[in-house]
Amino acid sequence: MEPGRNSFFALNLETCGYHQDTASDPIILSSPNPHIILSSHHSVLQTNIILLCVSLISFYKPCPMQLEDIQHLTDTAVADIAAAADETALEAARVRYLGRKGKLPDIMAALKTAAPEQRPQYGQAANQFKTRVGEALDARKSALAATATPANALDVTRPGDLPPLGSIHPIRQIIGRVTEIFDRIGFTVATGPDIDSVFNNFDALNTPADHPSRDPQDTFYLEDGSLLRCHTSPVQVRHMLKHPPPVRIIAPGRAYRRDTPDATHSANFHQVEGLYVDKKVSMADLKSDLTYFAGEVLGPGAKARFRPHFFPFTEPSVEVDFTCHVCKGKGCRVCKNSGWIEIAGAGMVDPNVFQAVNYDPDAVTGYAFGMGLERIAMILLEIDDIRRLYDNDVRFLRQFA
Amino acid sequence: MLIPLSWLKDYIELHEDVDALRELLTFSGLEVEAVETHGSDFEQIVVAEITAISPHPNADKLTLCTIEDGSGVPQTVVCGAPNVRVGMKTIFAPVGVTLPNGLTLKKAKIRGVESLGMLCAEDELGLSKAHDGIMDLAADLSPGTPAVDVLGGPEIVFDLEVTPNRPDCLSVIGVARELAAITGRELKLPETPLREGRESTADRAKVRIDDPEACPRYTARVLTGAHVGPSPDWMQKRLRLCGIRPINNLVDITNYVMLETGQPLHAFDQSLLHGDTVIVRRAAEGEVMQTLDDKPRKLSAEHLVIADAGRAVAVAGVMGGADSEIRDNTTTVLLESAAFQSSRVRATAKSLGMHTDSSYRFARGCDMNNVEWVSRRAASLMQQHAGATPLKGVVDVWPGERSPVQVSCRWKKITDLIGVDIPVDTMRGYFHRLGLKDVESSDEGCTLEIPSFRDDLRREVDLIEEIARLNGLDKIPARDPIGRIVPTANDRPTRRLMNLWSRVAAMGFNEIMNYSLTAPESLNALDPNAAARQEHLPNPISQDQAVLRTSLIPQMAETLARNYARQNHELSLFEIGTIFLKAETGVEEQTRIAFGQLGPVHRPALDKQRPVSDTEAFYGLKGVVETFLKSEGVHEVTFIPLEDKSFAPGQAADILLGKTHLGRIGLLARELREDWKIHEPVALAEIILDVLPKRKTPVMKPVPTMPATARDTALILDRAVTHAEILACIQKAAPYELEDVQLFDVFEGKKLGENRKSMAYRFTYRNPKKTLTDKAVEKFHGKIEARLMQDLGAEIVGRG
Ligand SMILES: [Zn+2]
Repeated sequence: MEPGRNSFFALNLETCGYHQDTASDPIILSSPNPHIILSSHHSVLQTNIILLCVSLISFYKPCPMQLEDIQHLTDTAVADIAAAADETALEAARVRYLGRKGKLPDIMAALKTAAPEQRPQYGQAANQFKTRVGEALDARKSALAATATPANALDVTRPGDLPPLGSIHPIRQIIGRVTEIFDRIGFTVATGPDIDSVFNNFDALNTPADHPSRDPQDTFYLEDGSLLRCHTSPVQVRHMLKHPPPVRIIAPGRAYRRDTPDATHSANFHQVEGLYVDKKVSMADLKSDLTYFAGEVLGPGAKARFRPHFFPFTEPSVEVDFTCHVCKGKGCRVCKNSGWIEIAGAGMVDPNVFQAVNYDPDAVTGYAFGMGLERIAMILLEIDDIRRLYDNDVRFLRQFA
Repeated sequence: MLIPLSWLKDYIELHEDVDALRELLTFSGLEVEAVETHGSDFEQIVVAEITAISPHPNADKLTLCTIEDGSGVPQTVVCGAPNVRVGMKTIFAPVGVTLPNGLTLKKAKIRGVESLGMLCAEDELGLSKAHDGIMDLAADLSPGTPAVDVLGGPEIVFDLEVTPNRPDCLSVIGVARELAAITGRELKLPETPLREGRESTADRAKVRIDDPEACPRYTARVLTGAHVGPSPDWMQKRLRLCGIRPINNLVDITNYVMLETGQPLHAFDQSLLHGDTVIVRRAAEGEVMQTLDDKPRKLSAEHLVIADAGRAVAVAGVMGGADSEIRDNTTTVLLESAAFQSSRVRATAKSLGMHTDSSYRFARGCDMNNVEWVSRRAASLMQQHAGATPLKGVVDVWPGERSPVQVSCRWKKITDLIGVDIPVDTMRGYFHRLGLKDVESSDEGCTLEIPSFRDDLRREVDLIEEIARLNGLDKIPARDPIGRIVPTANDRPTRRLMNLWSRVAAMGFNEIMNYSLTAPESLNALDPNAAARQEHLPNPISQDQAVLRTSLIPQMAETLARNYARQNHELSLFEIGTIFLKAETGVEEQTRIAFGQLGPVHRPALDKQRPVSDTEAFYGLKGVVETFLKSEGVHEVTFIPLEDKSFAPGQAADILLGKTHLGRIGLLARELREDWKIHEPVALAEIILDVLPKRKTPVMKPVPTMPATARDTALILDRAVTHAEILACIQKAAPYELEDVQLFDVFEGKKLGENRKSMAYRFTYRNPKKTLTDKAVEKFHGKIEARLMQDLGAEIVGRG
């Protein structure tokens, strides 16, 4: 038999006004079925046992209640009430302690028979019994009421009548994120039309006359000789033609190339272009700003590194890698074990570009960068095929809500 | 651009490991796109001799080869190669070895006979892709010789991305020279010893350049007594590593030297040329020649050719002709080494669709000054490996000779632009390593003479790039960014647009993005009014993307249909994008927003089953449009019925703000949606965002403190009378105290009579200054009701 159970049983007997002595143990243990006690975890059973104990009282001759008996009884009564499982059990407990045939009359009787000098203490103990038992009954009653299921109770697990879940397209989210990050360091958003001139798209950007990108195999021309811009860089040209330096702009937008659509190519795509022109802008400014951007977009600690490259509109030109966001630079599948992912093309604005927009290349310098937004969305959101971004299946779109 | 590491090491000392070299190249501007390994150490793999051959008992195509591998113990190997023969020396890989192609040999029975290893073909050894038979090695090799001694160790090949500004790096020597500049090591060029014959080249060959602009320099050498045969193994191996198929010693040497130096060469069989003059001229219009690849080429006056007395024998810088090429019996070679104008070669290669290793290099630009040395290098190799004797001297016609380019730069400008302090002497050192010579140099700056192979260095800024690169881009610091505010910059209109997305998404709509290009049929079906304003691309990729979209609605409808077909039956979509309308002058671009809705989208969870009615679909989306416009500060819009083929008749409206057309809304025409097997209403709307009025900052109006009084009235009237007409009528009789009128019920039914309907309105009256008496409200309301009865023939059927 479990010792805890044994003493609990003994305690209940005590509640009933009996002192436990060794001699009584065998009787207690043999009278009720100890197996029930053992296997039971239900407080109703405990109550039954208490009732059983109460009924056992008649087999014993009571001795008059002592002061400490009353205090004991108070404690056990409070515990007993707190354990009442439902309204019926609680009412039974009330009757047991406060009822006409309950314990209170016994206490009152003990008060009367107590020695006169002890009577105040007996009186106090009796009052405490009444107050504490009364409070315990009230507390249990409200506790039981609170757990009850009212008739108008709602099934809170049912689906809510929410409006459907809206979402912003992944590319738009990236545009929003990029412009917001650069907004913090003083970039304003600039835009330009999708259809632009050969001058803005190529000539002003120092693109050689026989550069392959000018070929109608690669660029969409319209009948009037204008074209669908093949990058967002013409926004630089437009902006500088209209505004004197300093210039600090970020230009997200759509661009077009005559690529055959596949998992990574699409006839139209999105880029974001950055341009900062001022007195004494350096490659260090470029690296500083892009490193800040890397940290904002990929998490603290992400860095930017430069690799030399070539673009007609910048000199020096670099390709920019950011610390791989998946492995934090340790090397993984996403970054092909290099720890870096290629994100942007950048460089210092070529003096020929300044000349084309009537800026004095000796008075100002500037940096420019461009990033493919589909690529960034695909890397950050682990999208496997660029065509998903234009397929618009709501099961895809809602994932990015 | 494939560069074998062992070849690079001919010209520069390199002790770095592959990874270090990869970094070195990439960070100096020659990005290593891939590192390939060919062959291996061939551990345990040896030369073996086939001592006996017997047929496999269970397979016709297999043989049992008894081999001697140097151990003295004969072994049996099952082999499937067709070229096995007794006495053959080949490569044997015993059981347990992992081959360079990844295959691990296990002891196994092949068709019932145990094989103790494998006789190897080139592909199995990772040497090439060839698998036409096992390797057939020189007969004098002794069995047991380690394979690595015969085949050589593993070959590392770098695949480099050479940017268009660096044609000088399209060769092994070019890359070595670049590495020498980066590391400060010495570049060792190959010796070019020649034992020239007595006869003078000039007596046997003449050169005439008719177009010196297109051909600034042409050199010719004549070599006699050549023996055509295979080129040496090492040369063949290097060609293969660079992806070029060996042909014969003379042709291989021209290719080898091109890979080595970047200068394309061509070898003619001189006996097949008519006359002794090589003419560099434009092709005649319509002139036809057969090129090396045995294709007839129809030429035009835009093409530069090499010609003899009678005909064109090569497309200059692109490809030689078939009838003057090196043959097995060739003995006299005319070796061409020339400079051709890059733009001319590029245009020629493009117009003829012939992109060769030669045209690729010429199109990017070759070093004119190097032409003669390269010819000498090739002649030297032909003497060594083809037994040819070069005649004395070279014919060198050089009409385009130029003096060297000089460029000046300022030290401070360099460090300012890079943003790193670099000592002047360090910068001078970098220039010298690059082969730039000081013309003058001071504390302020310097003037440098640019070597001919660096034609890309023309301006100060080009020199700055060289310093940045050689000093290392990793030296550029990344500091905390410094914000720079340009107070005059204004991007409010764009930012207003950018705010739309989150607002519409919050209304439960999913943003979609469609291509700007679409199929004309789709536009015509769903935007019938725009047929005249479509801009067709002259050079589309496909008919699906042949025209610029004139409206967002067609693709919106298609997107709804595509989703519907995939069992996505509750759809609220929007797109914000540009559309293109052909105008008198060019193409006008507009930014629009489109909405599309399908299914019981805005219904409570337990009310999804009943079908969506036209009313619900139309008014549901109309409410969205109205709320959207209100959120943009546009309140006073009117909807007027619209007839449009793409919408169901009587179920579409134009949206106007005063006289400005804002857009349209409607339910998709039944035939169109039935084509997509959509059997419920599809609601579509489109708003032109560019025409929305500028947003005004709202100014507070007092919030009413006096109580309002409401009156409800139900009217029965003609079905044709519109809500707008009722409101207009109410307006005529409205007192100042009428604050609001709300439609709260519409009912149509037989008991009202043919073409009758009932509409119930709640009128709210309030005087902001005092409590209205019932009597006063009664008077106002009576007047309005009277007006409705009088003007619209309304019957008042209930009030409260
Ligand atoms: Zn990684």
